[in-house]
Amino acid sequence: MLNLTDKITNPEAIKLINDLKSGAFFVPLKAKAIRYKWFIISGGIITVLLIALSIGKTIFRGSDKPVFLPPDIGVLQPTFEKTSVSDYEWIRQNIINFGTELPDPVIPFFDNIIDLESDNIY
Amino acid sequence: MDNQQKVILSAKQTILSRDLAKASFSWYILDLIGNTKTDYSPIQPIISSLAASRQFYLAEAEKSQTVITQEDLKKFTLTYTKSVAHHDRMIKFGIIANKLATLVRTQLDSNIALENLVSKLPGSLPATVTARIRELRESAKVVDVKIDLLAKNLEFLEAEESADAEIFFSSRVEKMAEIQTLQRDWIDRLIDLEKNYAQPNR
Repeated sequence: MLNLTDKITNPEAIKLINDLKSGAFFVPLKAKAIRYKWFIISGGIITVLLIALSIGKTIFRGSDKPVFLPPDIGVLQPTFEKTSVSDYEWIRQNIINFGTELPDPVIPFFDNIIDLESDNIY
Repeated sequence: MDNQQKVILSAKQTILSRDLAKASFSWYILDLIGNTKTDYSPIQPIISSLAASRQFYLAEAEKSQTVITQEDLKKFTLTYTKSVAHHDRMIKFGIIANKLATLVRTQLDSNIALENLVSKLPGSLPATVTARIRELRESAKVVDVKIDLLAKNLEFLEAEESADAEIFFSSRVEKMAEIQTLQRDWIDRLIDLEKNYAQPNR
């Protein structure tokens, strides 16, 4: 591995490299991390939850959705019944249509007494 | 024209309308009976009498036009009321005669149908079919007897005044309904015979 301090001449760059090597660079960062540790932990938890949600959504969308269909009962075939009309059905209909009520036809009202005092003279 | 003359004129017109209507109604009943195309002898006297009554109404309608005075109108009405009762009864008997003729027509049609069906059946028949045909013939005769009894009980010649009774029509309704039921059961049995033996594959 190359020795970086041999090639770099910038004093600030050299100081930075030395701080990184010694760990002094990370001291203020550590202090800030300790000061804001609950925020960092909370943020980390939320981040993990969001990642988990995202992974779950991706898995859900990728899986096949269950399809619910009614059971296959087959196609209903219409049944054709042979209906034959009797040659004597007309007699039967005549009997059914025979009116047993009397009088049939109904007798209209007739006034047999027509005189000058009758109410039905117009 | 004074008021009395106007009233007499109105009375004449009313009488004319009345008797023409009666004549038309009698003609209508005669036409109904004629359409059954039956020659049922028990109702022939009723048909003749109803035809005569129709002529009576037409004659009275014409005669009413000769009325001029109130006295003429009184005489006309008096004579009319003495004769009209008989003719009005003929209308009632005519209505019953029409029903009898219709029942007889059905019997004739049913008998023709039975003979027609028998001619279509194969030569050798099972005993059950032969028995059914015999039963149909016998039960047709039973219905014939019931119709004859209904006609006989009219007592057209013996008791014409029975037509004035309130029960003249109502007393015959039940009998006619019974005959109708028997005829319907009969034709149902005939049609069943036809479907099972004359046209089983139709």
